[in-house]
Amino acid sequence: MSILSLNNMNVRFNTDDGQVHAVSDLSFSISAGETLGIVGESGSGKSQSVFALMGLTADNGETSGEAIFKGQNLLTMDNRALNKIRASKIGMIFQDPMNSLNPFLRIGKQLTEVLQKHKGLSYKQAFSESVAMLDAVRIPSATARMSQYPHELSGGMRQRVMIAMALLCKPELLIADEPTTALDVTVQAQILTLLKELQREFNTAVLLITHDMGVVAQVCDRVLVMYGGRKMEQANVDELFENPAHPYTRGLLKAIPSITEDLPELLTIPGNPPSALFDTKGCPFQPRCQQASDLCKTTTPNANSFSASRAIACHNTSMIDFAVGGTAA
Amino acid sequence: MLLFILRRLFVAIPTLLFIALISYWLMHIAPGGPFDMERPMPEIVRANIEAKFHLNEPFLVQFYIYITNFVQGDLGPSFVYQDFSVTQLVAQSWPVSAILGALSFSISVPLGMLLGTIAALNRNSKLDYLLMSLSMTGVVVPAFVLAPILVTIFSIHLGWLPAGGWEGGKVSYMILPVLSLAIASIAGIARVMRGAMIETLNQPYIRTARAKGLSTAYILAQHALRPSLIPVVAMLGPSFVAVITGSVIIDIFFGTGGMGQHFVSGALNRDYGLVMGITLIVATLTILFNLIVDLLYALIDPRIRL
Repeated sequence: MSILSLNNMNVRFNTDDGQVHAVSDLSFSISAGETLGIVGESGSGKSQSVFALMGLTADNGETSGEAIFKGQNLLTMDNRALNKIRASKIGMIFQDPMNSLNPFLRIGKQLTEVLQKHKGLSYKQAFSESVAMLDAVRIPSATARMSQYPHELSGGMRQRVMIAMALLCKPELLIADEPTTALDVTVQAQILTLLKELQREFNTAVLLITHDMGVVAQVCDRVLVMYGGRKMEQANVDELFENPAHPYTRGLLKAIPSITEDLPELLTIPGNPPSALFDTKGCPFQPRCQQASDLCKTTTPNANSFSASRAIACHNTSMIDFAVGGTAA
Repeated sequence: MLLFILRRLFVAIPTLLFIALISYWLMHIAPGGPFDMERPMPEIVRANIEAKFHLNEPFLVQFYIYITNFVQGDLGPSFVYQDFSVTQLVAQSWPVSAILGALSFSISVPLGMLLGTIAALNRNSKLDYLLMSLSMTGVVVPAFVLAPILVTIFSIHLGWLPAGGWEGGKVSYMILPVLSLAIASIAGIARVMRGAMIETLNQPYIRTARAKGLSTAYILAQHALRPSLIPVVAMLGPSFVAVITGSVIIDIFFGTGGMGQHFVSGALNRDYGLVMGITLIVATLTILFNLIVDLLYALIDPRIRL
């Protein structure tokens, strides 16, 4: 039973240079206790799609389509109605722990206000629950941290505070927008393990945005690959790594440097990501795709489902021998 | 914190001394003196007067005598208003200036911040453009243009308010002088506040606050106000000085009898004592106010340690 399902969501921005198509025709769903990874390079629309879910799209943006969360369409709700869902039902961890906490307010204030607002707790109750949550995310001497300011904590600690903040009301869905990008690898591993444990404890659905394939392999159940604001491929995590079907996914996986092979140069996907300024005809990946045909230049491929878990947006799937792994229906 | 305050106050002493020396010297090299009349006075009278006010001594000795008296709280005699000491003149006019300044300050800071915030929340809308064009007008029109316009409208055409005078501080006599002083400040603060608020609202931590489901009013008051205050506070120092210097023109135009009036007449009459007294008072206030601004920074932003 999915708790969130997106149907053909679009996010557009009106700028002086024209309309930017940040997210087009995006559909996916996520169930309780599940971790869905969204991968893609910078500018592929990952963050914008979750901002749109939370009603955090910038003023010049407009969203269309459906994002059904527990029977309600998030995209048509007004700010007041959204405020009842934000943090209490859907928690969000932001990318940059350095700037995502308010530098002018004590950690304690930033945590307790969430509980006071959503659960109507007194300051005292909110304080002790916040301390308990800081303990849960392994922040040492939690009570003392409550009266500290963000600049007095390290990056890893701040990210833990962000996670604690997002989990305070035990949300059913947790959106983590590159939660480990700003952290070093050791801290990153700790944070991911922590997220996994907390997810198990609270049975939270986690929507994890990342551009790190290692993170995907470590924590995700299912993966959605985005490019140019569109879904390219969707698969269970094992399927994706064993048997990537979309030319873009293949390129992405090939670009991960291996420590066993000694390559003279890192492999890359030739070309540059598309400008989101024009609604290009055809497949957004087509200019960089080695298998592109004439059809790819004129018609945008739909994401066709090949099994319950798998969808691929490519005209040339027949050429792609993804049945070899035995995953196709 | 305490150490910081003490250190700043200690540094203020040589600063004030330097300001005193420079202004004393400037007064000294200006041609003419307090006792130059259209008809020259007899040599012997002149020598007597100069001896009485130590004007016959060398420059540095004069300065030394002045400073020694000043430190003991004696601002010296007025050379022109001979029935009054400078201390008396200042004591008489100081309350007027203080009331005008304080009133205009306490109107312009909150009002400027409010208008700036409204503009920021409605940025690039018609309301924003209207507020910002008005404030640009407020910034560029000097007090000596604004004051006559206000008087023409409210005193001469409408006849609502008196065109000048003080009458011991009746409210109706204060309105126009305070308005003339405050409008430029309101406009300046509104512009700075708008920019600061827009920048704050674009910060990632405001997005976090919105993702926490907090109401817009709560976010403004609790999350966005303090960060936006920093540039506004930075402006308060210069703005305070502007109110003081602005009050010179206001005092003269409205005849309110504040310190500014003495400042100008003192300078024209070469009334050394009066000019020095007021200069040093204004300098002290400026130094004090800059100290207060620095303390405010530390109060607002926890990352600033003094």
